[in-house]
Amino acid sequence: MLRFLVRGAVSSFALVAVGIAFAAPRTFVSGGGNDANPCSRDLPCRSFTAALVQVDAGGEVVVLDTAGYGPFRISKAVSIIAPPGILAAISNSILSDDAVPVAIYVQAGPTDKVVLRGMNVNIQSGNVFGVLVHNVGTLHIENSFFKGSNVAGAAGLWVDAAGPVKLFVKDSQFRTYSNGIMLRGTNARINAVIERTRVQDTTNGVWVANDVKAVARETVSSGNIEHGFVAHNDILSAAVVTSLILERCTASNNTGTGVLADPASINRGAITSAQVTISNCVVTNNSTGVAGTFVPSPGAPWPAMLITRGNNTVRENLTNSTGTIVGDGGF
Amino acid sequence: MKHLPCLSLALLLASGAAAAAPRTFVSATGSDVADCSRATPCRSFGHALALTDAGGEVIALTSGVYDPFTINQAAAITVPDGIHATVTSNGPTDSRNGVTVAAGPNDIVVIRGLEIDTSPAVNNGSGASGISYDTGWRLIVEDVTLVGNRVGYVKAGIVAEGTTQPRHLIVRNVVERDYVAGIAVGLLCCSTRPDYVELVVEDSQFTDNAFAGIELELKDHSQVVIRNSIFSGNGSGSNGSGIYIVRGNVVHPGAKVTLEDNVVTHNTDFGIHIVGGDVGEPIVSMAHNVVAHNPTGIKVDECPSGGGTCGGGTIAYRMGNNTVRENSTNVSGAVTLYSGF
Repeated sequence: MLRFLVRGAVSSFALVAVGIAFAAPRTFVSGGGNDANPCSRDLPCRSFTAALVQVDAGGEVVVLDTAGYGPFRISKAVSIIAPPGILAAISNSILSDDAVPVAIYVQAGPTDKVVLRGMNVNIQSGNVFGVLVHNVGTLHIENSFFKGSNVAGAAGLWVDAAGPVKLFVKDSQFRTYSNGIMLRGTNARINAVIERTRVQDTTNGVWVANDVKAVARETVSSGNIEHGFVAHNDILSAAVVTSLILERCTASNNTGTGVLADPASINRGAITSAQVTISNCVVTNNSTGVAGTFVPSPGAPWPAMLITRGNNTVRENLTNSTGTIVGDGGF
Repeated sequence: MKHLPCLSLALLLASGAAAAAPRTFVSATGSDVADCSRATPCRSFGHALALTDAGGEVIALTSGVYDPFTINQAAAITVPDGIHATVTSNGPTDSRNGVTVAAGPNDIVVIRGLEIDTSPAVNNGSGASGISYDTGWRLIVEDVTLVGNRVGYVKAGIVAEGTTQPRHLIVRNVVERDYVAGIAVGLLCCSTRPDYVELVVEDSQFTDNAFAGIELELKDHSQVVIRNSIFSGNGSGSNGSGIYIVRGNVVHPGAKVTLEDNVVTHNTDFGIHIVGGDVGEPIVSMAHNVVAHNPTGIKVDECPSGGGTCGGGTIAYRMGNNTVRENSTNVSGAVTLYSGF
């Protein structure tokens, strides 16, 4: 009996000695952690990457204190949580599968649920995407901050996944990117809800394209060098209509158009390609306030619709509205 | 004789008895043989509550995992900023609710800043909800995250059923997902439900629940306000609603529900589903909501779905300022226009 106990103890010691760790439903990172640790609360890891390896699918990585934790790739269902008052900084990049520099790369399973809460991405140089999504079922981004280094090339949040995606963004900020939020439903539907989010100092603030059905509420897109909110469609199928509904949003101080329903760039015939509905919004101090049914050239009627509920404040733009604006009296 | 108080104190200390305190503390490195003070915190909320005065407060000092617990007195559970305290199930067969509120009829209970994760409980038979509000005058839930797993029948983010006692529930800035229902009053587990409920929900998010973001079976003159909240991705297959409201009984004049400034989108069947009874209740008033991208935006059934007498009265009202569009069917059933004031 004693021999078995001794053998067991030796085996346990050997496991610890070689650093073999078992996955856990919840792992932890700390500025004073070490990636050789098991990422437990008492022995936290130093990086998100190490903690992600050791957390169960569907588990949670918790940030214990303020520090830089490095860029990371997500390949399974997981929640990464930095609670309020703790800053989880990321200022470097990794490469995505298609060799794009990115701070947070989401390449998970098609039904996986991923939560990012309290991330603080601050890129000093280079074209680095904030969050690049190539595969996920549901993505929640909450209470997070993303700042790129310039307005060329990279987006704060880019979703162009292989399968359908449910996206929820709340209480977050995106600054200094090519696009603050870019949703491209090229391969499958993206259902998105964006709330209490601010996008500024980008090229285009919020851009939704192709098979996207999005609602943005209490969201601000301001100070962008082109447009504030854009819906656009490049899908040939008449069944795909890009939709963006803005409720209590603000589009201001954009060099181009505050809210733009952008026509298709391919010939879909006379079928509406994209539509933006605005309700209780403020659109002000842009070159153009709102732009509706607008065609790229005479004879190319691939219309995009700007729909107003009639309750918006659209004023003090150089041109308040252009194109045909459609009314929706409300219900 | 004059030495007796000292002796009593010594005996108290020796036996480990601890006096209740207005404020106690828990920590992931604490111990339940401690006195739950700031210097020697306890390990569990349950033990700390036992050492807390009625009306007192339990404060989490460190991030970490904590056991499910029951609150049976007036108390506040507080997780401050900078701390991520998770109450979680202990494996797949754990049937405990994350937090059970079984307080007295005059007690006020506050749960603030906690994460409650019952998703590990995937095979627990009778189910586990995030918060089961069984008794107590008022429950305030704020800045809380509730995470379920969509498995099983009897699970909700917050459930108020099981007794007929009236409930007064305030839900603010809550993120909830993956239960059968985000908030359930009736319909979920029990034929017994509150005789009266007063519910205020604001600034919250209810997503990916297997049946509904909120389901309410309202009795008597219950009063509900749901505002500034998100209901999205709720339902399974072709069954499920963002907000589901039905009459709670057939002999009373009806409850009142106000839906204001909500976004109800991408649910699998109905955005908002309202079902009446033989005297027309409940009365649901809708203003400034966005209801879009559902198979049916607003569905009104003035008659009970299970049969019975149909009242035929108006049960759904709109203020004319809702954005209801881009659903396969925007509105089905009668909704009456009312004017603002």
